[in-house]
Amino acid sequence: MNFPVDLLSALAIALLFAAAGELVLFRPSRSAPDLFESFAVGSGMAAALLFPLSLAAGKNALALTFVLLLMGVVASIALRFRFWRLSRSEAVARIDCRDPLSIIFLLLAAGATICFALLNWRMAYQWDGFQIWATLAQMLFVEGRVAPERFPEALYIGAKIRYPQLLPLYEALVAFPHGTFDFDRLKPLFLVFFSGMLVMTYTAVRRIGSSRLALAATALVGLLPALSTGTAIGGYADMPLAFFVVSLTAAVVSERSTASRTSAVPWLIGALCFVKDEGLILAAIAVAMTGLYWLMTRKSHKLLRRIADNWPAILISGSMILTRLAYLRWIDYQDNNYLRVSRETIPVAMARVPEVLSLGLQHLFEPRMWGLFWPAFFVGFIAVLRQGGHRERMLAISVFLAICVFHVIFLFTNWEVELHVQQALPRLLAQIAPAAAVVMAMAFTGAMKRLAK
Amino acid sequence: MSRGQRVIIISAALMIAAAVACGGFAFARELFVVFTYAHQRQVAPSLHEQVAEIRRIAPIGTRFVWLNQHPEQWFSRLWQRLLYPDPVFIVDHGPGSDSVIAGLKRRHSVRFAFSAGAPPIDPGYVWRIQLKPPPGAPGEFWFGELRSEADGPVDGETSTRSTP
Repeated sequence: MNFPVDLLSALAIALLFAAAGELVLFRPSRSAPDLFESFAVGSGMAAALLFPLSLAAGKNALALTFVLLLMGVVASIALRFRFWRLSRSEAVARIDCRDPLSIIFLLLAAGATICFALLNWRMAYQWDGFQIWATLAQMLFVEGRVAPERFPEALYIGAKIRYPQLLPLYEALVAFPHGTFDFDRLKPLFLVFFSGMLVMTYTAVRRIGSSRLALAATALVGLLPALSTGTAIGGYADMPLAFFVVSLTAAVVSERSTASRTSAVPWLIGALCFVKDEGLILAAIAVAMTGLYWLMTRKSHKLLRRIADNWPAILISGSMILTRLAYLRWIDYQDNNYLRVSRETIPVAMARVPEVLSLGLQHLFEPRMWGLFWPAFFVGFIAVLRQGGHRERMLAISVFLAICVFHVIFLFTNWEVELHVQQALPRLLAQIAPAAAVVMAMAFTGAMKRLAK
Repeated sequence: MSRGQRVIIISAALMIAAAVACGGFAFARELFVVFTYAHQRQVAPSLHEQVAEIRRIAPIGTRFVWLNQHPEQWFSRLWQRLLYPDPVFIVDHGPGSDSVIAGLKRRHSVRFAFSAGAPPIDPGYVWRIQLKPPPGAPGEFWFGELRSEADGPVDGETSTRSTP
């Protein structure tokens, strides 16, 4: 265990992913937001390719992934010198260092990052972080591919074999150059996700508002206990998923999102499926909202033309989502945590609605965990619905819909309802919290502009 | 600045203040707890030494069973990961656990066993050693070789080797 070396290993693999992302986005990374976006795209793509590579290359899949990523770095460097120009990248506005409030927010965000880094370094994995995510990484490292358990009776991983592979892939690749898998050398990679989450929160808000507002939102997200303490420092995948969700949010509000060739949106929608199971739900919401956005911004007889124009984006997201579904079908592991939706179980679920609603509201308005975060989001959500543009409304509805769907999940649980909500809901809300902060910033900016008139 | 703008700014300031208080308390509490009580390593150095010792007795390719006196989810699974890819079949002591172990021996040629408890249950050792418990683990831990079907019924006590 050597923190500087381990952190450098994590950063090196992150750069490999970023190079792959640059290649598929066909643009260089000229800033931290570009780099993190490339990292998100590259890691999502690598995770999506892992299952097909495992079928095609067997035990060499992990090694092949590593080699392909190295080749990606070489290609990216070559393209930088030969073809890519600075004008293709989006300029990022500097922080105003003369503004005292901006400095305060910046210091709060930096302080949160330092506290997270200390906690993440000092504490070993917690339950799921060790028994699920790092274990999947160990399996991938040893087997060299995604594969069923050799001895299912031993229940080494059991039903968790169905969990997505992005985080295990990253952990396995960090261990790969060292030649041995050591559980005590992997945690620094969570600092990459945390930093990326803050940078992309800043980026998303900066694209719609001032630098001061963006820093305030960044500090707000960094100070959320659900994202910076507890299971977030225990190796769980919720905070990394929050990074991908806010990266998607930043890509959606970016001026690049209308140019499908360099847009990261379809890649990030697909990448969501490979971080956590809930990512598939979030990807479905993103696809539905994209379709609704196309419907609302074009006359209906031109919708088909809009779909035809965006076939590359549809192909990318669709392929990644289908790959994830294909893996779930192939591994064929039944999830016993939930009741199957049927005529018999729907009345059971409906009877649970008051209880789940009550528990959900208790958690959403829990001040020690969230402060005034979610009450402020609901106020901002209404404001954006009333006064926002189509894109803003779609983002706000996406976050609200995610909150609703997360509650619906608990109606079909096989666990004791209160226990399951208590164990899982804060982590589910954490996944969409940075995106919710962006919605709040939209509401704030919009309201300030309207009231100034 | 209009009155409406002032209201919004004050509301935003209250929200930020609540976030600072909430986050500040959470960080302070977490830093205290983590730096006072938390384990920094997932696998203590002493465990690595024990694994090395066990590997001298049971090389890679060996299959193990782990017998818990009471159902336990952490230390047994920690050892599963330390010995991976060799399987460690975890069995909780109770009615029928003897036949479960017999079945595992038949199907998977399980030769060695761990048992944990206060005191641990004997799953049918030919010989056993006592392991130092991992940090935080209650009770005792034994490791040993299981009697095969050919060894027949027990005549005397299980032999105990010295602790590594």
